[in-house]
Amino acid sequence: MTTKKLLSSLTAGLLIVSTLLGIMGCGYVGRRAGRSGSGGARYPAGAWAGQGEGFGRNVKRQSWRRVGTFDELWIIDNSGSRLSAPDHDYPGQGEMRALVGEKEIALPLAHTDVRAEISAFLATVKVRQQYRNPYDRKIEAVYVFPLPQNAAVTDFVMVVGRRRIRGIIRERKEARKIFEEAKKRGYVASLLTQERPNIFTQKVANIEPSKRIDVEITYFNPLRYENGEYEFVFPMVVGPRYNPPGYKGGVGAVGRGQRGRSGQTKEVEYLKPGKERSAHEVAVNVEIDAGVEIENIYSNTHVVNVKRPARTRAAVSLAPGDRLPNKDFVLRYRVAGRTLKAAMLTHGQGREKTFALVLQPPAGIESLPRVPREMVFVLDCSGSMHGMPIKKAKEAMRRCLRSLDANDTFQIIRFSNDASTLGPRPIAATPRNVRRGLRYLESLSSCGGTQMIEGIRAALDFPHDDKRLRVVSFMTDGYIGNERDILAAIKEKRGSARIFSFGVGTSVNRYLLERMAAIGSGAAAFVNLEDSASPAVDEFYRRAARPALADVRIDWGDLEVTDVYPRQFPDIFVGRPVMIVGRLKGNGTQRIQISGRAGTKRISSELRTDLDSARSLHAGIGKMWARWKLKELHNREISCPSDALRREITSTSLMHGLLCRYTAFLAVDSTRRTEGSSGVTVKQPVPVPEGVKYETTVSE
Amino acid sequence: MRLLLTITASVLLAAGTGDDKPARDGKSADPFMPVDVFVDSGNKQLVAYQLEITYDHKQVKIISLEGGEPEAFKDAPHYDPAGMTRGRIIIAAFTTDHAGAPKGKNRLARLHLTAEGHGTPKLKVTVVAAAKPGGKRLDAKAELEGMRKTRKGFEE
Repeated sequence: MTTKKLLSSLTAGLLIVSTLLGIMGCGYVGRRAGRSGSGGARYPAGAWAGQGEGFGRNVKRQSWRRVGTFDELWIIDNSGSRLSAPDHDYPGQGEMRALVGEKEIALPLAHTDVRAEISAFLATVKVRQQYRNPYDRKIEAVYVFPLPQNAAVTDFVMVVGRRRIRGIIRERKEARKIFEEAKKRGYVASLLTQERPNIFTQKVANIEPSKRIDVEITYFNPLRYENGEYEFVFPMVVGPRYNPPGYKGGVGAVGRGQRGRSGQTKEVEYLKPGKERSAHEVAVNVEIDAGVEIENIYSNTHVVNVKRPARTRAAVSLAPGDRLPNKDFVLRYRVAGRTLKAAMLTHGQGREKTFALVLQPPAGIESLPRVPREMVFVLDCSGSMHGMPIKKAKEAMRRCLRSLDANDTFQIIRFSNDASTLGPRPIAATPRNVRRGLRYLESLSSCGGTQMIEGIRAALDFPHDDKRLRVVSFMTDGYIGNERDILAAIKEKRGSARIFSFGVGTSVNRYLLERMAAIGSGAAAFVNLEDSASPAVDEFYRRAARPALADVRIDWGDLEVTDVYPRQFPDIFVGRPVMIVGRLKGNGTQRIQISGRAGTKRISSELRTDLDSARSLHAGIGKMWARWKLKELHNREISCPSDALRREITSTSLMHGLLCRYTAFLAVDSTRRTEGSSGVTVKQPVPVPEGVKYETTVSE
Repeated sequence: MRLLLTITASVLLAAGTGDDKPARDGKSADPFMPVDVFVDSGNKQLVAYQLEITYDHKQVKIISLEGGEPEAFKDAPHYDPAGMTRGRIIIAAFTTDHAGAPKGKNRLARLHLTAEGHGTPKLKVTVVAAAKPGGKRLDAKAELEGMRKTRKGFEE
């Protein structure tokens, strides 16, 4: 919008406020963004009392005495030599703590506060990370953490005391250079970068002893909607990734203080379960304004407190005893009416708007005859699936095998360091063969690496049975670091096969699984270890067995529509609407014609929408459109990387203030230089996800 | 259209005089410095503003934005990433706390920037829009003030 336009719109009331904010792309029209409280950081008494040496590599230099019988009181004797701290070591500290069992490690990330506001299908989420320096010297805190894979990170604020400093997005290389310079010169600075669409790194430099620096990240996130339920997910920990031999660009998993051991450019340090724990806790508060009655709201992953201020609203918070950040927080709710209607949401002023169109398959698609399938089940048998995850995956696969139709064929492929199959080719789903498949399934166990590429080759490289629709379903936690290689391989090899991905575990790599399904014209489903696998499997099978609405076309009528994403409309499965975003010019009530092919039939439906309706306005739509555009460009980059594409991704990111892998948010407090050198770097170790074995996944 | 009063100001910043004193070749000069943004709304309360700040992009990089002194403008201003072309940034802030909306001249924001070399970084501020309670437009002036570096830190 031009300045002239802006000024002419400043006529009365609070219009100026919303106009200014509209320009800034802020989601909080007409209200102040809520600030999160200071939270309840748990610091043991005496954590900073005394001075001396610390932990990690230096523990051996100290003597620890056990003085209690019931509780354990550890007293650190500082008589050992002082730490000569190379930059990857932990800084010194003195502490005296009462502990039972696990040793609590003093770490910079004290608390994370998550506040989400959900309106329609879009969540606006503020994540506030509180960093404190519990040591006796200056530190740089580094934390690798997850966010939802479809989050549009739009805002970054560093909080120093009561001062709020907004970071400005810039090219990653330039931002890193300025950050390093600020760090070297002693300025408090923070840098936020994206490693994967669902993995981010936060660095906070020059935190002085006992001082606190907070960072506040804001993102928009469309909710998943399936079978009448919305799903809000907040991931809390990055699962330990496997990287193939020779690969350097992955995300390594190492024990605490063992930086560099994985050989990867990015690493996550993990605490050893039963021996170490962190005081870091996560508080989550979600406010839902559904607009229609909320019928049921629950979480299978966490204990939650639910308040219902109105029938259409809910306020959900994590119970105080369930705040350990070791698994995804998944909140589901059902709204009245059971099915989501096709709808269009818009944002913008005048005729020019950004829109999000939610499409449902037309009624009657379920009654169409199913076509015979060639079902290929691919089971991840790597070390990270050991225990409950593989048990759950097998439970799901058993149900799938028993649901096969007599006209179907099937194949089972297992992979870890290599891949092997039930037989040389798919076999008919006769009762006898199904029993054989079940026996084979029971014989599989988990160990070794995650050479997913082997599973993909085994699943997609054999000749296609042209009388059947090939459906390949991957059952995995997705804990790999070479996602781009995997996605490129699927793109290259899939042919006419549909890919369904089935995520099993408490903190699955949703980015990988969602992208695999999207590239493969299929769908992703997730089963938590606390969930029964049955409903998800039944839904998966329902989708895989019935025709989707394919070859989707949209007649926009009188609307002028441009910049639509995704470029290629996805197939629409029963019970699973899809979202399309774009830009339009138009006003008033409009008719949109949606058509597609279901099996051999061409069917269509009409959507009427009032573009001037107040209900259709949503401030986050513009950001979601930009996020989709970035995703589309990244997808193109997977198969055809080029400098031109990289420049286009970067400029799109900068233009819309939306973080991507080539940009970064940087904030520097230039008013004051802290004293001394820039201190030592402390990486925030995290717990391994619940249900995942440290021993089989983390390099020591 | 009525023109808003626009005041521009150059910022005079010393490149450093003490511990951070640049070497003769200028390579070790500390490039980081804050610049305060003042808005004077006269005897009217100010609830929203939008400012355009221009600068020589070869010399100056604006790296962060900080909120101001009045409680109503404590939060950091927003910026328009689409309008952040080389050498230009548009910042804006608002408050719904009309009772606490400030009058007169106040520091409403602070820019954190890097400025390379010996020369005095030149920045210019223009009031694009300002509003009083009720959303009515008001005339306001804006100016920038830099901070001089000394041996013991910063001094205005």
